[in-house]
Amino acid sequence: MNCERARELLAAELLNQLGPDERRDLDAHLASCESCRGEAQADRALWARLGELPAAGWSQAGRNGAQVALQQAIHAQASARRLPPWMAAAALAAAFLGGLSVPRSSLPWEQPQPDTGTAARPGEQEYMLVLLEAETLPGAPAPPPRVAEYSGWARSLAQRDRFAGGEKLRDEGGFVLTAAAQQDYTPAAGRISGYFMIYARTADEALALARESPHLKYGGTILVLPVDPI
Amino acid sequence: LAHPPDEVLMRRVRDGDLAQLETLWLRHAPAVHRYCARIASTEAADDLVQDVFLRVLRYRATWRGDGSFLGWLLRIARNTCHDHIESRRREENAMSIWRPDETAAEADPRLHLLQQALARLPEDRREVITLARWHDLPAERIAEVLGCSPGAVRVRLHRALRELRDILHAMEDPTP
Repeated sequence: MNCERARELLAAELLNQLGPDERRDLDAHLASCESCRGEAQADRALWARLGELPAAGWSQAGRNGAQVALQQAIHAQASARRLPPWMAAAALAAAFLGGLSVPRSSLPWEQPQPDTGTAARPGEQEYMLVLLEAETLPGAPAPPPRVAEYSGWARSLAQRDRFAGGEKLRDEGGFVLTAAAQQDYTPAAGRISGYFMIYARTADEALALARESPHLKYGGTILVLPVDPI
Repeated sequence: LAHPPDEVLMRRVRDGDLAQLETLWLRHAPAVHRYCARIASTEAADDLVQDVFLRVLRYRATWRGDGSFLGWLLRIARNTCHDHIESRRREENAMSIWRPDETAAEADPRLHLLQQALARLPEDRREVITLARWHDLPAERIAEVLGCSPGAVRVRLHRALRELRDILHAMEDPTP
């Protein structure tokens, strides 16, 4: 073994990656080479000293600030991809819908390209599932919380690469807007309570995915609408 | 191993489940901060770690899942630090803008000197020492971050240590 190889093995030793054969070869070389022995001693001492250097502290305030910024960016990304309102207007003429569509094109990450707004792969169609609430009869108990169940469904869609986005919509705080007037939106039976964006290869697959939704068992209705990218 | 594994979480992020990025943040933000503090500057590390994760969010569609998430993340951290250093270098016209954390090792003169020597080490040498010594990454993972072979990592580490020793010797004994 030459000295150059021995010094490479010394680095491997520091990386805890020296195999038994390499260990034996290195030890044999060090026993016979004074120069490499000195090098090994110096490298090992420096390595130990480097290990004593304290890491730079990260204040709790700094950590929290960065985490909040990330959360805001996640939220902004989710709401930046709003779908055009004509979709909702044409569907129901009752509410203004927001939307989320997450692109999943595979780009070299060093060269990000503008988001084109939709990301159905060849052979796939993006569908919007509009969730319409069942009528609540007067005096009936309030429906149980269902968000976790819907989230579980979303997760299951994502695991199969079928989930493009979705949100629950609030009942309050909305408006109905026309060119001539603006009025508060009043939720009523059949109102839109949320939507999902999914990818499917065929209309049958989109229907099958929609049938998995917990929404149906709660008496709701789902509009399964193919997206026409603009 | 953490469950679900990082790679599964990143795949979910790529596919639209953006909230999973918070779990990846909780797992790896301290390591990214440590890396940025060692490579760029301790003062800038808070901003840089944030920038790194924003880049993950922005470029999530490019995650191909054919390597380790940590390797990919540190590669983004590496580029982020590099961009920061380049922009500072243009501003300051200096060879290296890394400033050691003066408070961290001031109690021990030996460590203080080592900090100063590290500050004089070129960035690419400091990088391999950082990944190997303070991130405890195996040569394969370091190779993934640096874009070279594991064998080249050994050679680079050896050269970086020798250079650091030379700088230290020159600082400890400044007579020619």
